[in-house]
Amino acid sequence: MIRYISALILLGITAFFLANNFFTATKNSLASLVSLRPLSEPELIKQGNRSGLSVSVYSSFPLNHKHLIAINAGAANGVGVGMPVTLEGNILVGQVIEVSESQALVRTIFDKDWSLPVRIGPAEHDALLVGGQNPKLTLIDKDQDINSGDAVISAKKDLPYGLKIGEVTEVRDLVAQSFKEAGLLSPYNSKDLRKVVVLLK
Amino acid sequence: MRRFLLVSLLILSSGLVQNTGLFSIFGIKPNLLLAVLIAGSFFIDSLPVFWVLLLESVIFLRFESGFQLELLVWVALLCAAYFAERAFPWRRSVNNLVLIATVTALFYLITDIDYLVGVPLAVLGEVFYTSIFGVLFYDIFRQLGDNEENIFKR
Repeated sequence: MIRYISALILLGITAFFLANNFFTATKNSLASLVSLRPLSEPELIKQGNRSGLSVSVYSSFPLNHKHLIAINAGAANGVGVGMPVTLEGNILVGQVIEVSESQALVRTIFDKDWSLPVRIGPAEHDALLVGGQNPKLTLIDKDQDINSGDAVISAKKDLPYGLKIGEVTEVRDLVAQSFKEAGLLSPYNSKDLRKVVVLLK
Repeated sequence: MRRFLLVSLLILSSGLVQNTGLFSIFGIKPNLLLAVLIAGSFFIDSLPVFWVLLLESVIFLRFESGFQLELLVWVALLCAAYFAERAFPWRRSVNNLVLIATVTALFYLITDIDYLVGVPLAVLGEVFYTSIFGVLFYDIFRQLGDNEENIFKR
C-alpha cells in the first residue's frame, strides 16, 4: 500500500515538474552567472523617433535542435511578442516569441522554424531566408544575378525594412531545381551574443 | 549518499553550463545532463533516487512555458535507459556509450525528426561529444564507487 502511495506521490511531483516553469527564471539568471555575463538592468536607448532596449542574453536553449535565447527584459520593460531583436540596433538576431514579467524568449535566425522574406544585393532581389544551423537563402529566381558577398536585408512586413542579416556565401544553381539557393554568412556567432537590442518601435 | 550528492551536484553544474554556449563547438553543445544521468544510472541502484535526479535535470531542460514534449520524452527515455542498462549484455562502460547514442537518436527521432534527418552530422557530432563526457563521468563514478559500498540497494 505504502509503495503505491509513494509511486503516486512521485508521479504527482513529476507532473508538477513537467507542467511548471517555476524555476526557469532562476535557472536562466544562474546560467548567465556561469557564463560570466553581466547582470545589468535593461537600458532604454532613444534615437530620433526610434527607441530600443539594450538587454543581456541570459541563456540559450540547452539542446541543439532549437536556437532560442532568453533575455533579461520582459513585459514589465515593454517587451512584446513579435518585437525584433538586433545586434547594435541594425543587425537582425531574431524575434521575441514569448514574454514573461521580467524575461523573454527570442527565436534566432539559426532556429530551423525561422523563415522570413529578404532582399539580396544592391538590386534587392527577393529570396526567402530559411533558418537552421546553417541558414540558407532559397527561392531565388534563376534570372537574378546574385554574387558572393552581396548584403542580405530583412523584408518582412512586421519587421523594420532593411535590417542587416548577413552576406551571401556560395550560390548554388542546380539544373534540377527551379530556383537558385545560397548560403548565408552571419556577421556574429550566436554563442558569443551577450548584449542585444530589442526594437520597441 | 556521497554518490547521490556528487551526481546531484554534477547535474546542477552540467545543467547550468548546458544553458550557455560554453562548450559549444561549431554550434554543437554536448548533452552534459544525459552524460551524467546515464553514467550515474550504473551506480545508483534505487529507481526513486534516480527519479529524483531525473526531475532535477528537468529543471535545467525547461526553457519555454507550458507543456514541452521534450521533457516528457526525456523522462521516459532516461527511465527506459535505467532499466535497459541492466539488461544489456556488454560491459558497463560499453553500455554507457551505447545508451548515450541510442537515447540521443531516439530523443530527436521522437521530438524533432526533421532535425535528425536534416542534419544527421550534427546529431552524430553531439553523440560523439556527449560520449566523451559520458566516459569522463563514468570514470569519476567508478573510482568513487570502488571505495564505497552502494547504499541505494534495490
